[in-house]
Amino acid sequence: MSSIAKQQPKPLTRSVIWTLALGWLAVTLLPLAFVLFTSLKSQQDTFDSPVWALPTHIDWSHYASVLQSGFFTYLRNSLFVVGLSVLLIVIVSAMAAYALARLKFRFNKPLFALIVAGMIVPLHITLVPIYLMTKAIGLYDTPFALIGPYVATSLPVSIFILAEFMRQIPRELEEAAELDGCGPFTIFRRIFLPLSGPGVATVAIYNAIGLWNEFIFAYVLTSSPGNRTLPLALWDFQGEYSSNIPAMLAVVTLTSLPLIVAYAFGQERIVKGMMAGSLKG
Amino acid sequence: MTQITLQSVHKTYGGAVPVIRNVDLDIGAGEFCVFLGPSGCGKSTLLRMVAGLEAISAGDLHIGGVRMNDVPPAHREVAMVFQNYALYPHMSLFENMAFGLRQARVDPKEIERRVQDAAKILQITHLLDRLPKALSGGQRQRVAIGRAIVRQPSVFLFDEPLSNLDAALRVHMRTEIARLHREFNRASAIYVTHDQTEAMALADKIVLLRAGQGMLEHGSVAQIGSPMDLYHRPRDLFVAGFLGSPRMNFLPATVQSAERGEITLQIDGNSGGERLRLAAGIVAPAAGSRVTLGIRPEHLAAGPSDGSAAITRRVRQVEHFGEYSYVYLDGTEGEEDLIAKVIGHSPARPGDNESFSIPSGDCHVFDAAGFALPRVQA
Repeated sequence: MSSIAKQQPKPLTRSVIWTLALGWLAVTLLPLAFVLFTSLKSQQDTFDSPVWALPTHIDWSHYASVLQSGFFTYLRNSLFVVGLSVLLIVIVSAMAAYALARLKFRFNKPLFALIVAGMIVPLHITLVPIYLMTKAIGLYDTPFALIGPYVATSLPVSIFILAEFMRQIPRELEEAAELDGCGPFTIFRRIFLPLSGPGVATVAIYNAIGLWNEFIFAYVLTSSPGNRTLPLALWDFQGEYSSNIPAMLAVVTLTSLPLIVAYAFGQERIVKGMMAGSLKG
Repeated sequence: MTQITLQSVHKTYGGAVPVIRNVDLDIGAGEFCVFLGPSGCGKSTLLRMVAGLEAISAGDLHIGGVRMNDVPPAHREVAMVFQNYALYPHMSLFENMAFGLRQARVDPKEIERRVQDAAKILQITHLLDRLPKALSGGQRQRVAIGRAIVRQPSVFLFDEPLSNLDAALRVHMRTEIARLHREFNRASAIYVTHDQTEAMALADKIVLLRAGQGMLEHGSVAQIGSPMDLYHRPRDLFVAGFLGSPRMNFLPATVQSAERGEITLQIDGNSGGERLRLAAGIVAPAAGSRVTLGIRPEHLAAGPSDGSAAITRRVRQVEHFGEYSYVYLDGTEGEEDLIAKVIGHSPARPGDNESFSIPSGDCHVFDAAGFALPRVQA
């Protein structure tokens, strides 16, 4: 047992840490609180009361109005596009990561570097070519138009994360599987994929969050309301509720709610996934 | 019948300096063969070449009379026990042991029978539903052995399986491995270790491997033989110095004369080393030749001899272990310090001058190149 007592932070240091933490909490929470409270005010209440005042009475009518005016169509499209995209991202990136991390073939390292370099390509320079390609193949203004670009732009970082995960898996497990008669695909499916669970979850959650909020491709590649995704709901509702601030903020709240819930459940997984590669397993 | 044959096996990485050179070896059916050697000598690499996990750069490997160089690991009828167990962490122990059999499409009832039988032998039946992380090191090692047993291989391969265990458990598992090998006595076993105690205890045959310059000059294999062969009849200085703890004492010397089965050696020393006459029964080189006299610590007999072979040195340190004592003696110039193992409690004290006789029959004489001089045939 160590005879050296653990050093406790000095009181002044602790006060500073608490002050900074509370300050950061205020910075992140106050805007959310403002959105939520204002969305529950009536229009009159919004203009009459101070900005940070709580609602005098809870008004759910804006939420009802938003939900009845096509919100579920946007939600359905987002769920479909993001769900299918994330599934494809996980499958393709897991297989690519395994091949790059564990299989020996020529140009393995340059190929990995090239794929990872894809992370630095700005999305906006690909907008016009992708728009033209999407129109040419007849997918313009369909939910399917988004899936290709979403998967393609998410693969570099996903492959990077999963490749690092898979490199941590001991080589002896692979060799034991070889001796048990497994080929590369079986080793991937029965050994590496299950053991990469934290990494796969990280990739899925990270991409789901990013794609849920994706705006520019959705704006460029879809036009009719029936095919648009949630980030465009605010854009569309702006015309309809241009002077109704509580209703606008109700749209913002409803759009953010699925992500907040997902993050609340998945946050520990994301942190663990990001950190796992830094620890010796 | 020879089960495993290696013929002129070489291993080179990237065409550069070889790791394994010129290994010729036969291992019989049921034989327990230990690959022993210092770190970097290639013993694990050689084992992995037998398993099929490393390619053979040159030479041939035969198992059961069939050339195996290009045969995948799963088809070589070998089973391996890894140093760090290599159990699949997400599978139960039952699934770990059954996995290979499922891949081979063995009948499920047969899988159940084999796994249960192996679990019973290894006394892990009550653990079959658990995951590896819920087990101790010794239990995991048993499961790793069980995974090998269920495959009913022709050859068991052990890659330092006990090195991650504590000392007490290592001794226990060593006896378990020996017992299991007797139960599966038609299967050969190759066991890699750097621990000579394990090698001496388990092996029917030891293959002692060299590393470094010695490997480049003379090939990887220093000597092949039974443990007692290597211990009592080492082929060269490397073998003599590697086996035995404490290691053999080496005294540089010059041959004065050799006649009628006796050899007279002048031991090196600044102020005149001893002149020793030994009836060693060896084929002696010419007078004036440089040699090295080797004598194991347990063969140095305390007290002056009534013969003419004895050395006197100053005692540097004495260690008492109850059953025996180690007496550390200062070497003369050009000579390493010597160690004598004395049964019981040694009365020697640091600073004393102590004499030790050198029985002729326990001497080893090595020529200038380091090779043991042959004994005269009776």
